[in-house]
Amino acid sequence: MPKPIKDSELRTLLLESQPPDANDAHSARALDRALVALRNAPKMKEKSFGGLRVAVAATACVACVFLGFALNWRGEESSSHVLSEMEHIFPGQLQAVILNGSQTDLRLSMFPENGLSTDQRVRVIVETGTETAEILTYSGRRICILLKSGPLCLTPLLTAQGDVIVVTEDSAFARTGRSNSAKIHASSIHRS
Amino acid sequence: MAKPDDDLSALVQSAGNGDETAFSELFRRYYDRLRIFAWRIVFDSLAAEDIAQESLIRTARRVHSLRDGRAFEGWIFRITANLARDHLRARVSHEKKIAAAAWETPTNERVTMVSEHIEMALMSLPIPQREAIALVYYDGCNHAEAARRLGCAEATVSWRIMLAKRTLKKCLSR
Repeated sequence: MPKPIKDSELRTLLLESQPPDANDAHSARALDRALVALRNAPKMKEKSFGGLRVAVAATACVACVFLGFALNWRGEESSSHVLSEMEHIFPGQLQAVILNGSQTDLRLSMFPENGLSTDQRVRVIVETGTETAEILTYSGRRICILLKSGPLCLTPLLTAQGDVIVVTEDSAFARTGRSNSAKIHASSIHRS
Repeated sequence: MAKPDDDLSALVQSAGNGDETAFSELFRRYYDRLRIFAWRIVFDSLAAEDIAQESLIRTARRVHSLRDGRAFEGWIFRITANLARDHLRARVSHEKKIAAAAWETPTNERVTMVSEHIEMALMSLPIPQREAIALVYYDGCNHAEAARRLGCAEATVSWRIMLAKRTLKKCLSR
């Protein structure tokens, strides 16, 4: 019969496992590569959308227009209206509209996509202790947002019964659940 | 070039604005921690170096988008954990392909190459439990901090640690 191990003994045993030493040459190469990536990355002040200046300008304009809607936000009916307006402005390109506090963000594909389905609309509300983000999107689109607590990626899926299943990197749930320390609530949006 | 503050948020902000000195300081602080964290998940020193490198390259590409520097640490550890999981998935798939091509059943050769009894016990844990053990036992995190880095609830980390301890005690008491 083996002797049971106490917690303190387990800790001591585990600490005996030592990682291999770092390879200095590899670490130096890694730093060089990371710095090259940093040089090619957008800067904080630029606020670019994939480096496309046109997209930045368009998004800024739309964000201004959109602010009016945001001020009169009225839940599902308004969500449907906002999506319709944005689809009209960016036909075949709209992936999601994201409201986070006073900030509005549009996710657009680079080019219009033929046959892009926009009839399965979904509204997802993400709440952490300090912020609330609202995502208006379509079933099956993977949307990533950057919260203060870190990035969060999710895919809402509309079922035949009109229910919404949300799939995140660490969980899947119907309508309401938690991921990445955030409470998530999803519902379908009916066309107004 | 402005000299970065010692404060992490200031360093992250400077790095986000393209300050290479600030980013190099972040690299100096985190490369080895990420490498060791990755090693405790994949138990392959070369792969762990590659994962740490890729984590910091991704960090360099995206650091401009991080609005709150305090979230930096949780963010990069989550990137590293995801890369380590991807690596393990790819490795399992690769080993299965090799075994199938050779008309052999998959062997546990990699495991037997790791001679250390403790490492073998750790390798027997599911990946989420390895991540929790790596952060709590080796990186000195409390459960709340580990949960923040792994993007899950504190209770989830506590549960994973409890399961891991049970398995490890069973393996190591033989």
